[in-house]
Amino acid sequence: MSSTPRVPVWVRWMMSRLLGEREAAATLGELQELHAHRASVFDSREADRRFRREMRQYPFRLLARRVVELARIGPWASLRSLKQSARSLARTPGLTAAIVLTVGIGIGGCAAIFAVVDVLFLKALPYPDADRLVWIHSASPTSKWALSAVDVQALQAQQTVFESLGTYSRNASTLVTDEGAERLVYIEAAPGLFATLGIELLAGREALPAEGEVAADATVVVTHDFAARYLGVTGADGSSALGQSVRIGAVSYQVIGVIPSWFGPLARDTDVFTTLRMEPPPRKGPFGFVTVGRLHENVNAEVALEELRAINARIFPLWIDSFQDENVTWGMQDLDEVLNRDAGRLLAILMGAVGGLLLVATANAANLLLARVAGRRQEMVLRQALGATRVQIAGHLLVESVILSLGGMAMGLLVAVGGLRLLPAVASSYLPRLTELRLDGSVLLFTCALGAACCLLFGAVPAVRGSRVGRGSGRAGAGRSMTSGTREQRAQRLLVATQLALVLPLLTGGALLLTSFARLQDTDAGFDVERLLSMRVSLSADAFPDDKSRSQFWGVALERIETIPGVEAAAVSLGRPPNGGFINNFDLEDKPTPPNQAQPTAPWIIAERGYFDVLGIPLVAGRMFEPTDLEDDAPPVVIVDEAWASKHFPGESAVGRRFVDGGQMNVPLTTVVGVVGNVPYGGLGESDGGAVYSADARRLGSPFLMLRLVGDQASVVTLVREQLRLLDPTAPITDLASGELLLSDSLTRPRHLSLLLATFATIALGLAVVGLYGIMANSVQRRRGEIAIRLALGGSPRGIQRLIVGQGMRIAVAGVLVGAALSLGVTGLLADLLYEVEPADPLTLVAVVALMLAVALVACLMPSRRAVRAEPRTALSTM
Amino acid sequence: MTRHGLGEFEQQVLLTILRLGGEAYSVPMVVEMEQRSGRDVSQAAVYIALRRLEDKKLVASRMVGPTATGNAKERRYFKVNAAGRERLEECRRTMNRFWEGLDTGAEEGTR
Repeated sequence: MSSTPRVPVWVRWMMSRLLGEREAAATLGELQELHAHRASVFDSREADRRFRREMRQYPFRLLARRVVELARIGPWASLRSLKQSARSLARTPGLTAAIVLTVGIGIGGCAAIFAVVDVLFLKALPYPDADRLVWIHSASPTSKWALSAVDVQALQAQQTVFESLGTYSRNASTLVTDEGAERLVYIEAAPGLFATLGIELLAGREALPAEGEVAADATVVVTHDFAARYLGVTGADGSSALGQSVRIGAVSYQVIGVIPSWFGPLARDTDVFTTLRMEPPPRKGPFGFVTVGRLHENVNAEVALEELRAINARIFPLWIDSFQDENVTWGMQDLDEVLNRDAGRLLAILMGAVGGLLLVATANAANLLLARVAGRRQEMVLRQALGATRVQIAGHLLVESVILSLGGMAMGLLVAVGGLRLLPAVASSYLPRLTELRLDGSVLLFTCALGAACCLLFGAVPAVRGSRVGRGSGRAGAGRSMTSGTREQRAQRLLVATQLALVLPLLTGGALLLTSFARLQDTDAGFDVERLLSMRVSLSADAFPDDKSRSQFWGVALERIETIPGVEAAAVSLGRPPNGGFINNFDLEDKPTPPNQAQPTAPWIIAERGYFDVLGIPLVAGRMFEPTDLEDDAPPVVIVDEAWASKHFPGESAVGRRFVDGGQMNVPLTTVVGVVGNVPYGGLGESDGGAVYSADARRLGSPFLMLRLVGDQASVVTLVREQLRLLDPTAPITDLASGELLLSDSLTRPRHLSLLLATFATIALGLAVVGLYGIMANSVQRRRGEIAIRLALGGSPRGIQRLIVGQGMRIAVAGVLVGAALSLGVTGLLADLLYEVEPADPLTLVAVVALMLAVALVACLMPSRRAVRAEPRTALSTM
Repeated sequence: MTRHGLGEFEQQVLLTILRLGGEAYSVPMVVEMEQRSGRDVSQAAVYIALRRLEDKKLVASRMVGPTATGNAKERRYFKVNAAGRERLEECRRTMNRFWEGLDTGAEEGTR
């Protein structure tokens, strides 16, 4: 017997990998034994040769066999099971559609909100190096506002930390064209705005610093849209617009540049940028200049802020006559933060709502799939008996989840696309930058990730449970068993309780917002909403260049308008409730603002005597405006509302009090002559601290015309137009709105938010209740034999019903308890959005809990009644 | 191979076990198969065929530990079970139906 050739390490290693240690040792042992036999029969070299050849064959043959096995159960097998799964899903189209739809709405909603989050918080502003852009503002300890002309000029002259500065203020006038005149909201921009933002002009150039001088010619930069609409530009670059003139009010501006129609979120909706020619300011104020700075590359924010404060401190003593508040300085803030305002919290609420819905939908899907698995016990046992491993069965079950989540993802994409189209149209009034929304790579990726996560969430539980089917209870449970599947039942109960727990915060949030919205709608708007009609009338600057001509115009116009049948009263004003007016500061004569403190402010409405009659605002104390108040040498007077009076003179009369208007010095004091009823100008449900009315609205060039109507609106509008056209043929009439429209417009955000949350909560509640009903019906079905026996043995139907309902309600109560705790935790997020209702409002919580329990009770009662009605004999015969 | 049919080599493996008394391990099987077929038989091929037959539940196997009489190591013994015997019979019947009344003309000369 010759000695056996050595077995190389790699052969041993591979064989023990492929066969396990013990089997590999035995196999090699047999190989060596064969070698010994062959060596005794043939010559030893022949035996050695064949030994080596076979020894090397072993690992490769084993490997090949493993590959064939894998191929058999691998992709081809999953493809086959894909077909099977698709078929079995198609057999229950209702269930499949419900899962795809609800999960899809959840995924799509989340994706749409994510797209907004992505634009607002993850993507930089669409300007080059946007992280260096800051908003420079006036800042007191309590608020931030724009700069005055004094501030802007000092900043431009003294600063060293900014590469460039852009300053602008918004203005409104009439655009005069060959066809007539129309109202135009435009921007007066100091030279440097476009350079600061990094906007490249399509044609021409931005205004030069010299063109910002008072004596310079009037120049303007327009968007390509504007140039195409009004200047006959057809080419893509718009260069043919250069040199043309644009007439705004009484002034002709020469076009020196054309910018793209979309140039970022700042100053959006504006097409015309006239060059701001800043006059030397007589005083510090008003504060109307928005200023954006581009920081030098290596300047950090603290250094910049320090310099801003230093410059402000230097100029403070120079303007002490018109501005005394030492606490006010300059500050700066990242531009994207400014634009986002409070969008973050709003998005968190929306994301919470759709995310909650998605979770409930996912739990619901898991539950339904689990029920299917329980129903397919025998199939699983059979599969296992035929040699399918646990992993294979789990894989097969996962394939169904994959199909469902792919469906959900597709549905979600549709919902997301719809959402992204809809959002800019409905939500632009309360969310910024929505025009930048796109279904881009990151949104797609997010959608896919959500889909995959849902797939795992609702696929994992049934897959693991289903693959265990064959174990333990397995073969015994292959038949019909009353006790089988307790694990599945436990998992199902847990899932339903989870759903109920998730629904409760959604319902509570929805209920709170709806309550708040209803209370907002019931709030006293302070004016006669039903009979109000208002519109903005912009007089042509040519025909009515000064206060006197405008006063004359309005005198005649209002008189004529009041003769129109259907018009009871007419007046003009600047500021329309419930949002309107501008904010002004003042200093009371009796209670002067202590040094180093900010002066009080109030919404300021430029009105006239007739305004109060038109809006039905009652006089509470003092007198209304008189014609003599408008005479040139008359002392300035105002009327205040009750909120103002009680805030500044609690328990005393406000009539006769005097104050300094707007922080100016060397002006006569303004006297309060009357007190009227409250009207909120800071929005419904917002406390504005009391409003102030001045008397001189008739000097305005584009005020609101306010009408008190009796009768049909449409005919009145036509007649009013006709009358105005007789007096000023070109005056554009815009912003037409009834009182109801003004109120409902101001409630857009709370209405959308409450409806959205309530809708999501209702869908989620529906899903959870269907889930509860499902497992109760299932359990009754499974226990029908036991129930029949109980009944046959004389058990009372009522007692059995109580047993079943009790079982279901235990799940509901558990879910609701957890949900109530959750609600208390998350509704705090809503605090700022609620009006006259607390986030932890006990009544709302109790009502929502009661609603949920009532619905849950119905979901439990229905199957329990069916159970006790069944004929015992039929029930037993089907056992 | 289809579910019902058995490959030629598989049939040979099963028949060899039966020839060796219904239970055997690879070494005598290879020797027996080489003698009967007149060709070299790879032990690895035999082993893999046996495992495949075991997957099909036509043979059963067990490990037999070291014994005093001969082997110093463990060996895996394979045994044809009832299903395996039946499958073999089925193959034989099928082949017989194909051969029935047929003469290829080649047989005479070689025999």
